Order: sequence, then C-alpha cells, then structure tokens
Amino acid sequence: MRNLVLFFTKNYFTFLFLFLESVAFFLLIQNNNYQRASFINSSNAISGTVYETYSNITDYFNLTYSNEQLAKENAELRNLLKNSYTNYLVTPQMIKDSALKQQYSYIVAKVVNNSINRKNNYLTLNRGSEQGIKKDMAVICGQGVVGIVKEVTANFCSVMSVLHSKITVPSFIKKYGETGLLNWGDDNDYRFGTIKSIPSHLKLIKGDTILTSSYSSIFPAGIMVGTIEQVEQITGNTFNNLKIRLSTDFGKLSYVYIVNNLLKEEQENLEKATQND
Amino acid sequence: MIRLVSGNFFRFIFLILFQVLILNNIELGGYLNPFLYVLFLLMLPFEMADWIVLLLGFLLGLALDMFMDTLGMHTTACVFMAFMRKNILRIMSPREGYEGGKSPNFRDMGIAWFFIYASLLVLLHHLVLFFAESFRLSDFFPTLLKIFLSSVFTLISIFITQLLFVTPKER
Repeated sequence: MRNLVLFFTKNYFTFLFLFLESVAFFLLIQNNNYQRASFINSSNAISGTVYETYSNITDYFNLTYSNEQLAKENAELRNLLKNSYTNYLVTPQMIKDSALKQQYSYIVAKVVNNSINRKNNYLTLNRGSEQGIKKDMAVICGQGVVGIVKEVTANFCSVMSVLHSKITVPSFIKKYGETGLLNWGDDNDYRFGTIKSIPSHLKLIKGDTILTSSYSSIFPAGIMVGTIEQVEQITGNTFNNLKIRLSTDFGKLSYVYIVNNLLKEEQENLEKATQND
Repeated sequence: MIRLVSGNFFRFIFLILFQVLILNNIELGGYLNPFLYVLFLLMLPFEMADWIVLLLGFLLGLALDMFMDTLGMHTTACVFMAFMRKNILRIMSPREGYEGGKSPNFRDMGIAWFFIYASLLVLLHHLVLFFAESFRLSDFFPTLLKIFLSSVFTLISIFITQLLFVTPKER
C-alpha cells in the first residue's frame, strides 16, 4: 500500500497529464459526435457579451458596406412590391381567396461573431429564445443562404454556417429543375461549395443559377444559393460534380434574417407519421 | 509574488482577447491563423510548479475553445504542450540549472535558446491541434503542410511580440 501511494506521488505529474488529456479528449469526441456540448460555446453569457461589444465597435468600420447592402436589398424589395401589385390586377381572384396563409416569418439579427477559416464554421447572432428563436431555423441574408441555428441561449444563438462539413442545403438548378444537395466540399475555400452527382446530359455552363429547393423543411424555396463556377467531369461516369460560387459573401456578413417556418412542425409530423408505416 | 501572479493573469486575459478578437480575423491564404496565445504557456516562469502549468494549460485551452466553438481541440493541444514543456525544459537546461526569478524569454535566456524552445513547443502544439481538427489520417500531408505553415506564422508573431514587450537586458 505504501509503495502504491509512493508510486502515485512520485509520478503525479504524468497522472495529472493523463487525466487532463483524457478530459480534453473526451470533450473533443463528444463535440465531434454531437456537434457541440451545450454550455461551453460562443453563445454563452461571457463570450457572447465579449463578442457583442466587439462587434458593436467594429460595425462602424463596415457601415458603408452594410448601407450599400441594405440599399440594394431595399431596391429588390421595392421591385417585389411592384410585381405583386401587377399580379393583383391580373389575377384578382387569387387575392379574394382568403386561404393565403403565411408560412414564413423573418426576424432580423446582427452577426456578433463569424468564422470562415476553419473546417467547421459557426456564427453567433444576437437573438435567442427570448426573441422566439428555436433550434433548426434557417438563416439567410439579402445575398443568399447563411446557415442553420444549432444552439440557443436567452439572448444569443449560434448558427452552423454553410461553411461546415456536416451541413447540406437541398437546392436545384433553376434552368432545369434538377435537384441536388449542396455541401461545402473539401477544399475549405469560403467562396465555393459543391453539388455532387448531377446527371451529365444536362448542358450546364458557368453562371447558371442555383436556388434552394422546396424539399427542405428548414429553408424556404427559391432562396439564392450561388452560381455554377465549374462543371467537374468524372471520366467513365454519368454524373458530374458542380463547383458552386456561393452568392453569400461570408467574409462580410453583418445583418442576417432568421427564418421561422410556421408550418414546419405540421410538415414534420406528417412525414413522421408516414415513416412509421 | 503578487507581481508574478497579476502579470501572468493579465497576460492570460490579454492574449486570449487578442487571439479571438484580432488574430482570428486574419486570413492568410484562406485558412492560416497565427496562434499567438500559446505564448502564455511559453513565458511562465521556470520555478512554477509543474501541476500548475498543466492546469493553466487546461484552462487556457478551454477558454480558447469556448470562444472558438471547437470544444476539446485547443484543450487537448494545450495540455499536451504544457506536459512537453517540462520535458523540453529538462533537456535544454543549462549545466548549472535555471536561475531563480528568471523566465523563458529573449532577455533572460538569449535569442538562440528561446528560438529552439519556442519552435519545438509550437510545432508540438500545432501537431496535436490540427490533427485533432481534421480527426482522420486521410489528408495527412495537407495537414502537415498546414501545421508547418501555421507554426511559422505563430513563431513570427511570437518574436514580434517579444521584441515589442520584452525590454532588453540592462548593462
């Protein structure tokens, strides 16, 4: 017994190292399996507040760019207004139909932290459960898709960005309607994503538009994803891979919209019910 | 004693904030970051007890992980680095041992000594960090390249900081 105690006190340094390293390794594995543990991440009170203060200061530097973006978006929204006005004149019976139901509501949020240079990137936004944010809501901006809400605290939420190895965005090619799953791909460049297995008989050229498809219960359909940058042909295969230039400039995000799909639960319950058969 | 504790405490806070607020926003060639915060572990005084160094390494890594949403990655790397620090210090010790009251930096130990000491530990830290990040061996060589390049940037940033903040020896 005495020898055992002696052995431990003599080698306490190695044992402490092994202990701490296993704790760290446990956290690492845990994190890899479940994306993240619930408490120690950038949306908790300490780091959330630090990032928000910092972003309040640096926002001034991006003011010109943000204004430009907002002005652009205002113009786009104005166009939409005009469109709906003409629609109203052409097909009044559509409007008389009182069955139009709002499916999506949008909440504006400020990006208080953002990363683009890691294998798995996250954003932190200054909205949380007190503002009605829930897990798995979509996040978009004026330029295109941004990500999916993963963790929510009272006043912050952290968002798995499109620049994450585990995210997929159901999308389709506007020209043909062919659907595919967009993910970030392997080259870790924040400007590009990949869509795999697109049939090679489709004549695709650089610049063709990719939009989100209606197959997702998270993203609204028809949101801009990006444009085709390159069609990567694989010899001896009837499928091509597409390199997509993402329309969202992840390096300069400042204001984004969190999308609440009001009918999501209904859709998912229905799908769950048929799955059980 | 109080000066020692408060000095290291402020260095801890300052390096973490500098790392997450400024350095993490620098993108060199798309995905390279200098990880200057390891300087905290490098500069702990010689006579500090080993177990405190290990615990501080754990705390430092955990704090970084908290800010960067990479739970476990920096913690694993920092604890490993704190462990290797003891061994490397033992190997590199001068014949008469380390003098009391000295710290591993430019002024006390000289540039050549500090360079070898810092590069070994930074390399070990980045080795663990980037393999913990990629978590597979399939892209072994790209990861090695990333480790090497990031280590170079980290070392450059460490040397610039040393030149700025460590005052030269008085003669």
